[in-house]
Amino acid sequence: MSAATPAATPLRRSRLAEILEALPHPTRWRHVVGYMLAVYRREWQGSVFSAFIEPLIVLVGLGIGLGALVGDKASVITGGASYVAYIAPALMASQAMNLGASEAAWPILARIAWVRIYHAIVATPLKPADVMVGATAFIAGKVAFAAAFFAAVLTVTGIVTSPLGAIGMVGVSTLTGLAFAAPIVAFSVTQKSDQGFAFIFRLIITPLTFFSGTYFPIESLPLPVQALAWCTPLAHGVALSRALAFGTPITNLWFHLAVLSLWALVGLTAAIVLFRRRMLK
Amino acid sequence: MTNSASGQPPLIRARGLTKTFGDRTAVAGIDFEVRDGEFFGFLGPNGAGKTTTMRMIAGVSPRTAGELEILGRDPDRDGSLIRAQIGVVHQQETLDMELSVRENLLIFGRFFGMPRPAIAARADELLELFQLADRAKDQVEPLSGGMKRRLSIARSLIASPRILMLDEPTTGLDPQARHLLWDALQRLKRGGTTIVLTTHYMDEAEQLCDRLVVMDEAKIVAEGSPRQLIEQHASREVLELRFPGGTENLDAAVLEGIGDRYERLAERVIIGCENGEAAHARALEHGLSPESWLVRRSSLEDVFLRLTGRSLDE
Amino acid sequence: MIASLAPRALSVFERNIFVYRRQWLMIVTGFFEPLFFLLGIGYGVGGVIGTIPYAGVDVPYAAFVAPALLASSAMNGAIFDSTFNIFYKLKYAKVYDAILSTPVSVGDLAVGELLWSNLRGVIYATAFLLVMVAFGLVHSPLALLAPVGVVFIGFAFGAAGFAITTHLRSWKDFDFLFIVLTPLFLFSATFYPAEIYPGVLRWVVEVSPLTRGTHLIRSLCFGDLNPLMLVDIAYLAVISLIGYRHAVRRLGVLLLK
Repeated sequence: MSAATPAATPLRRSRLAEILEALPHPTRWRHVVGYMLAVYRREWQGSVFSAFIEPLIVLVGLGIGLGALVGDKASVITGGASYVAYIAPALMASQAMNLGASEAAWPILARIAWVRIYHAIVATPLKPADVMVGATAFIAGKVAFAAAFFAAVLTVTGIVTSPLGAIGMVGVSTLTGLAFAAPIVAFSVTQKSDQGFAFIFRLIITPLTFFSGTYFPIESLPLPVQALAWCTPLAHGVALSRALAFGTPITNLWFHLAVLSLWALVGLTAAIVLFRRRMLK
Repeated sequence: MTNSASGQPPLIRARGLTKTFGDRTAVAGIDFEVRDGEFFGFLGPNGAGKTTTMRMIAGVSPRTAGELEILGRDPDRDGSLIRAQIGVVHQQETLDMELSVRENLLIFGRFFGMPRPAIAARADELLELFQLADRAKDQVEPLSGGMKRRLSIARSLIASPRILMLDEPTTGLDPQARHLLWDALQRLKRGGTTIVLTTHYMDEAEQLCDRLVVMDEAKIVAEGSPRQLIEQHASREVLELRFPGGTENLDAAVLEGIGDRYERLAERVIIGCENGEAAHARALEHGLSPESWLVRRSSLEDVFLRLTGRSLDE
Repeated sequence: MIASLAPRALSVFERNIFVYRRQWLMIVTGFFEPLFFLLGIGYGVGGVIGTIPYAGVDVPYAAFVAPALLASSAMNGAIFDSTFNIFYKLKYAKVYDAILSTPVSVGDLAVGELLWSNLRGVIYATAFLLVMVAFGLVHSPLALLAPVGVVFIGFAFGAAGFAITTHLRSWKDFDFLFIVLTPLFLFSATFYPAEIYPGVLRWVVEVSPLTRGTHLIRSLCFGDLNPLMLVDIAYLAVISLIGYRHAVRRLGVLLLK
């Protein structure tokens, strides 16, 4: 204010203390999950369709309908199975991607930019990292729940015959959902409006739906496109899910899991760093 | 008043104007006239029916019964023609958040069917007039409340309307922004625009309005210039006595004896009288011991109190 | 009602141009959706299917699917605008309250908005038609009329979407909209002929407005002129008219209280 005020000396913190401060608390993130559940309890009707019913409609529309058109030719790509059995496990993974991605987009942005509830949460003992871990964990839970429902339908209808395989598919779908949700949360926390989402969904999520081996083998794509597909999570989720459904031996299990986990972890770390930066501005 | 003397027809004329929503009567058969060039006010608490009346005038709320004529036309039949000559500023901000400051003006000009070059010139003139020229390219969202309100008014003036209608124009503004807006409105009035406004602020009505009607519970309870209303319905001065412990135990006979009339509020007694100092002396003589007291000139607030038995912010 | 097709309706249209000059990305990315469906389903799955019989000849699967994608991109363009964007303007931004304080009437407003949502549909359809030509999927010069056919689809879905939007209460209700839209897209003879459905189900599919739109566009793209196209046009026109009238009435109820 006045000229006599001495220049403020920058506060010095040790690097270690700074990192510790940025890390999530081991348990407090659960309160964030609790908050999300409380909100969800009021609004769940709004997402029943997109999370539970829509995947089934796609399964009928493209699996059975398109399957009828594919007919016997299906065995060329399925190795004997029907077309609906071929795409069902893949659809499960791709719906996990859709749900994980959309839950990481609008709801997160809304709580930061529109409802600003996160600003209120960060004003409590909870740290930004706790918010991110809690929010991501909630999305993972939602994806797992939707995947379990889908897996149950597939098992009851006999499209998937191995219950153990079905359980494994739920795990794979959840991880796939996380591999998309975490990096998109990181993107969402940097956004001011929802315009950027059009980009992500129309130019990344939609093409991935088609070019990750969901409806036809990834091998029939040009090599560069194949290479690109294997860099993204969905192809790995589809490969694992389908192998589990068919009960075939899984080749490259650890490679698939490693790529999925890498996306999830790098995404979550980025989300924590970027969200912290936005909150502490 | 000079206008009525010259025999010009009123710009707005209502007879028995009524609006009901189901069982609820929002406006119960009111009569009023707004003359060319005057600053006309609807004064009253929230829910008195002011906004509904404004909406009927602006042709966006069909009346239930009664007569209503704006610029000699019936809003039920000629809504578009009437609105072409009216500028409306809503109580709730209705600026277009998806457009920039200047674009808000430009598109409004198009809604009025003005040719583009004329709109551009008029928009720049208004931006200048309302001190928004340096924000012309900005988005609307980050503007301050006062700026948004000025932009709303500028937008309503794009087609140079004959009547400007403002619904609670200064609600939510800080005192400085309020005075800035009052200045702007008075300038407009001098330029010949007829202005109709609603307000629940007494000082605003007193400062701005040539003539006003006081509305309460869907009816008009008084009409006149602020001066006339005060002269008719209030005494010259007001003595306010404060009793923080409550006023319910005070003897009515005692209160009656102090001035011309009194109103008993929760913690205050308001006494209308010719001479406040003398009334205060009488109050002490009668054994009243208020915590504090003050004497002031009567205002519209007292008129409202007198007419309805309630204070405006109750 | 036709009198509303006046400059005032165009001014409402113009407002959207102002807005989208800044949000062109939204428009551009919308074009890619049908393209990915064409590549993924038309060529990807089509590679397995090969050809399918249509109007008496075997046609490549991609050529069969492409006109349907063109029709549904017109539907999507129109319906997303007339639902999400109109809901925002109606309930949140109070844009319509401001507009109705000017000489613009509810009829002008509805016509202006419908013209705009239709323009989006026409732009997408035209761009997609060019892609089809580039891929060699167009078999008749009549395909040049497809953007005209798209106008009927755009008005039908734009007006229906507008009418429905006036009944929605909050964003939550939008999930219910997708309960209708997703099956509409998947089951309207988009990816396989309506004849594939058994019994009464087939007739349910046949009366879907998108099935009619798809039939219209597909007939044009294959140069297969048939009287049923007149039914398609009449059907879509009736939906447009009913939707428009209902939307105007509801706007009156909501905004001119």
